[in-house]
Amino acid sequence: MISWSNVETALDTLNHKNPALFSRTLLIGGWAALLYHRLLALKNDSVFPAPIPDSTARLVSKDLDFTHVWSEDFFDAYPDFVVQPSTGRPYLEVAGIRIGFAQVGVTFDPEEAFEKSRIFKTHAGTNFATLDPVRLYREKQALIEKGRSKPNDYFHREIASAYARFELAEAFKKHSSEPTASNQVRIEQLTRELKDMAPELIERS
Amino acid sequence: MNREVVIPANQDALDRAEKTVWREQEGWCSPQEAMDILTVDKGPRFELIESEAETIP
Repeated sequence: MISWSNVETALDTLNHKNPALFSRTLLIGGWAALLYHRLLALKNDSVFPAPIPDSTARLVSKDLDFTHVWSEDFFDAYPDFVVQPSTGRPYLEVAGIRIGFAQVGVTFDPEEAFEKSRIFKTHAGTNFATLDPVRLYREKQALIEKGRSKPNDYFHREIASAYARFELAEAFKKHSSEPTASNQVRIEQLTRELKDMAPELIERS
Repeated sequence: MNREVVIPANQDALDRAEKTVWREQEGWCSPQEAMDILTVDKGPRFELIESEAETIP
């Protein structure tokens, strides 16, 4: 069973071994969603509570998925972690987690998504870029609509939806207490992204 | 006389079958494992240090 400790160790290891390459990676997929779930759980907001899965069906992704990098670059940079199975293609595994790659998303452009990413930091100080909640929501929604989803995608979509709306609500709260120009710009940008990419979330807010 | 029974292709049934195969291959976590994942005071913490929108000048 993959745990948060596995995830943290994998991120720290990848960063330690090749910080230049790791700094260009963008975390996507289920583990990105679960990071937002942790933030919602920590905030404990009564309006935007951390979603509760409707079953204990597998919640996590087997892979730690990245984009904005080439898988070939990873294989070259981390030869110690290449696993050669008896059948099938070689893959990378770090701290018990298989590393997955997506050249492009179903809905997002990796370059733009990297620019719009959120930055997280591990306890050991590894910074890592994570797909923003609106693009994450839209990606999960597209996978579900195309019939390419896995059971956990519904829960991950719900998390991204909740966090995207929570983020906007927090921006409004901050502007209310500190009515600065930068806080106003933040509201406008978050609103514009939601309207452009997931207008249904604005309607639910 | 044996009669061949033809089951018409049904997208829902195909979807269910696909998910069943996936479940058998990947496994499901137990309730306790689910709580370990979703409970924030277990395991390492991750800090959000930069929100894209906050970096706007």
